[in-house]
Amino acid sequence: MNTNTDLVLIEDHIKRLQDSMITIEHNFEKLSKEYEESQKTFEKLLKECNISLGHAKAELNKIVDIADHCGLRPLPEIPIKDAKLQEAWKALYRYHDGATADMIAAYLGKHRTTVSTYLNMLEAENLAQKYRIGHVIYYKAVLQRDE
Amino acid sequence: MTQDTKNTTTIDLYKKIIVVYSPAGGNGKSEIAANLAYTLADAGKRVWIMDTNIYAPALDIILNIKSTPLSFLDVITPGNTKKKKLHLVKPIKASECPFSLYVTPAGYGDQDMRRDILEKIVIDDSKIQKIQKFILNELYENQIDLCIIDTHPGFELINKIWFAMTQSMLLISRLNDLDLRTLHILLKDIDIADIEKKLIVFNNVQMKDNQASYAMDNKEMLDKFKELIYQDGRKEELAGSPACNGNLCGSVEFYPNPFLYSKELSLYQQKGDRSLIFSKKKPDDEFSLRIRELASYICNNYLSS
Repeated sequence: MNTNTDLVLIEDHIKRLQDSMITIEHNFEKLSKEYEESQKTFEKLLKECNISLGHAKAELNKIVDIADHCGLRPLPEIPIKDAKLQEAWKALYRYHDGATADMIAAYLGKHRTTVSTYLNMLEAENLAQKYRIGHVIYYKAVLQRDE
Repeated sequence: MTQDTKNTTTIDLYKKIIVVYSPAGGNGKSEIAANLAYTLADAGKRVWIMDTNIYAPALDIILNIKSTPLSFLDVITPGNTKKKKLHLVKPIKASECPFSLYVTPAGYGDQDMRRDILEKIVIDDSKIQKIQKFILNELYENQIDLCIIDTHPGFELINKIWFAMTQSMLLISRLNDLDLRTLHILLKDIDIADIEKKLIVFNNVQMKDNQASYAMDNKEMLDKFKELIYQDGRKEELAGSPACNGNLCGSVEFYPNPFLYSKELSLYQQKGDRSLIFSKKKPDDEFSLRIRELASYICNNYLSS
């Protein structure tokens, strides 16, 4: 057995192993960077989608406003005599996909605390539904009351 | 919450709420509210009074309540209040009518905590709903005839919850130029304008030692104030109204008899002895007479049948 030759062979293999480890490390770094870049791209695209969705909703609301103004789409009446609740419900009805208290408050020109109270009153009367998306609470107008 | 056999809706329950409010502190709002609640309970009404002013609680002092199972602070802080009942005040002596006065004092807590709680409530829909559900549940379970909410004076945002829930408000104000100006601004606030019935009660609060309060002789000032309200556009609301020549001003009504903060009441407050509520201790005092008149007026005009 030639010990020197064996040692040289071992050294050679160790060096190659080290080279492979370095290559793996470099590739791993590249992979991480690629992943971060794609995450950023993903988030950027998601943000752009949400902005476009917001624009689309705003345009839809403008169309609904014009239709209401022209009397093309008469708003239904609800069985509540209270004028402020009627006003809140009609504002909510405009948002077919649902709306937050902040959105209704902005539309009515009232404080969101006031509107939140109205919407909870409507929900208690089964004239609105409440649901949550993440931390945000949405309301949706209900047309028929369950007797 | 389900409807009972008489089809009481949640809207019907909200009609039982009357909010007692004042644009400035020290107008005698809590004293009037507490004595009014006691007088109505004495007349056989089932009354619930809640102090929501957690910065300057007054109800527990005026009604001489040492501790209660449930305070308003308990309702607005995280936690379960389901098993806690409203405090029921015992009558001073047996009366002909059953006496039911439920009290929820404001509660005491650290100032920073109170500020933090109030700031969070007004932007949290679920917390607002918790308060509303609590009130509706107690109104229904205790078969309350009238719920009096004693509020923060001034423009605290939490007051918007009460303004949104109620259809009736008792506005307490002094009859001087500064308070009337604030009152005038207040009546233009959209949340207050939306309240169907507003009864303005003028209370002359003077607390000088050993001197009686000034007599209410400010008719000229009151007339000027009414004129301001009319100029704001209320006049068209009066057109055709049978109350045109009276005190009714659209949804704003002036209570015809101003309150007089008597020397007796001033001394009573300064002495710090609250073993008996003032209207019971001095039933013949001018203030007590006014309270009984106001209670009768509210029964006839503001309590839903």
